[in-house]
Amino acid sequence: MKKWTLAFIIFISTVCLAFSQTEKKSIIQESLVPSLSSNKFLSNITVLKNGRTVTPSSIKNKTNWNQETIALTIEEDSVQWKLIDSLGASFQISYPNEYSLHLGKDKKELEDELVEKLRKAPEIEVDSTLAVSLDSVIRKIGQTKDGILFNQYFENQLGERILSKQVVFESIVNSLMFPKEGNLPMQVDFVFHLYGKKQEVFSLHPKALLYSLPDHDSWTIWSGIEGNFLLVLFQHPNLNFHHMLSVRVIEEKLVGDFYSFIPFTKVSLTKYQEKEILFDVYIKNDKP
Amino acid sequence: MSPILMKKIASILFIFCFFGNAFGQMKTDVKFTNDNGSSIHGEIQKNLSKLLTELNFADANNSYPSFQGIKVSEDFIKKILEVWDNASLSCPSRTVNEILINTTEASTFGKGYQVRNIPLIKRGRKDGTKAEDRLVVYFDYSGEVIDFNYEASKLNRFNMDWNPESPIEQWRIKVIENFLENYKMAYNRKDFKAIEEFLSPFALIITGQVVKRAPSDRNRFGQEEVIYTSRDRDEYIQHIRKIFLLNEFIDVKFSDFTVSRHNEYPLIYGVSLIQKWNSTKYSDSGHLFLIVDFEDDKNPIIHVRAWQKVDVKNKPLNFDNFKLHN
Repeated sequence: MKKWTLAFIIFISTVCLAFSQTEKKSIIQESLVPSLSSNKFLSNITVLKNGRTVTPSSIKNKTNWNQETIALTIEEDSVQWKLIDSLGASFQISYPNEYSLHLGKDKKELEDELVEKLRKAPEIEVDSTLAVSLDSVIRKIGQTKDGILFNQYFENQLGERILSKQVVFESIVNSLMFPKEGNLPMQVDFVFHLYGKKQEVFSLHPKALLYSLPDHDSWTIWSGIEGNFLLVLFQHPNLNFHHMLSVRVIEEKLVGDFYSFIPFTKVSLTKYQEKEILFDVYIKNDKP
Repeated sequence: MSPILMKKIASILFIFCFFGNAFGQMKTDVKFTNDNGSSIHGEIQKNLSKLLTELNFADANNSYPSFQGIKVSEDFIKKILEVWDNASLSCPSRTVNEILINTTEASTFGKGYQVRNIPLIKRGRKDGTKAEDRLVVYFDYSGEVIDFNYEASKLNRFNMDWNPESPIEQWRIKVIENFLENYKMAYNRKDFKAIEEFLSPFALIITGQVVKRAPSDRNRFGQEEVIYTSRDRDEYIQHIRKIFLLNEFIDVKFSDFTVSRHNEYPLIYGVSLIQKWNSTKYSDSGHLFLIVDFEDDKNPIIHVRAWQKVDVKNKPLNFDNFKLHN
């Protein structure tokens, strides 16, 4: 089940003095204005000027926005800006909730930025003596995603959050769900799979991975455990994508794979039935 | 009018109606949904209609087909007569609406044309047992029938034997989603090198393009039609490079994913989706079907990329239509 029904609203107005001038400038100058120079962005938006539809190209390269009155609404399927220009005309700009449209960068550019952040990921102070009684492992489930992955954590009978090398996957999940709590040494050697079949290898505490994400407190953690396999999804708080980490224990080491900026898609699964053969396909790259 | 004359007229009318109806039932007309009015389209439609009608006649009369007046090669005649020794073939449909696919020299099929998905009934010559199947007919570039193929139905031979609710299988599906996002981005970045790396060296690529024809004597309103071609990887990359050069931006979107896993080759997945293509010069929407091989899951490759215009007459290709050879 998606958590996306919760709309994310940022409202900046003249009465909202908490925002500094620099921050107000950044949200419009760094996000919307550069996008308005892109024909691709313009081909994806609808624009209302004073309540009437106008062609997106009519606001190409427009910069004279009033910095004081901006409303940005991000919903499950769409993003909407409400703005006023320096002449007092009101504008409403809408487009699909696609991270690359909203952020003005594609997956490759965003992956490259994330690689840089992971290279500078913070050191996590660990305490190898930290241990919580393992009288039992009780799973506490918040929400369920498609009946497969869970917003979950694990406690013992005393209601203490489990941190133990004996149940390392549950401990990783707990450390991501409650990052302010103590840290066991749980370094994961993972391969970051990037666009263009490139790879970067990292060795990080899972919490360091979480801390490398902007506004990490607001991301939703989904997880699933099956035998020697842990799957974790880091869901962005409002844009339509997630990152994925998988972990296995191999020769007492935590080894994993990481994929980023995967859009949420509605995937149906069907049965495969070979019944109307029309084409031959050679899957070994070697024709007979 | 005397009663005797009336009886004779009634008898003659009955005979005409009976044989006319029987002929109608045996006649099969082929119409190409992508007919562009060219002479080759018309000629192949006519030739294939004659061939299927002749097969229907021979099947009904329990005789061997005659190919007089039908453009067929010697090899084709030899092959079909060998089949006919054991089973006669007939097409149960009075009208076959299918696509004429243009195949290039470098493709697996060689330069020519093919029509697929033709309904077929195979009837045992000795015991009369019937089996339904689908026929694919191959033509050379002049429109002569040169070969045919059909596959014994393997319906229900394989059952889906995977548990998509397992976190491990969810991981696989997410890897596929990530793969598709990268594949889509390669188009949006106009990165033909990345697209080439996604495709197997012997990938089968079927592409279609919507073409708007100018009004003519045949159709004064003009019409949209789809031209389909089968290409190999190098041809496709050359084609896509030209498109990239012509367009300032390309914005491809994927939606409505359906994923299935091959049972014989559990690391091969079939992905059906809707592709929306928007670019400076051209926009369209179509069914895209991909066969993706995750044998090396760090380096998945595409064996088949088939694109078809969204059209109720044009059944989208899917996993069912491809025979994998190891």
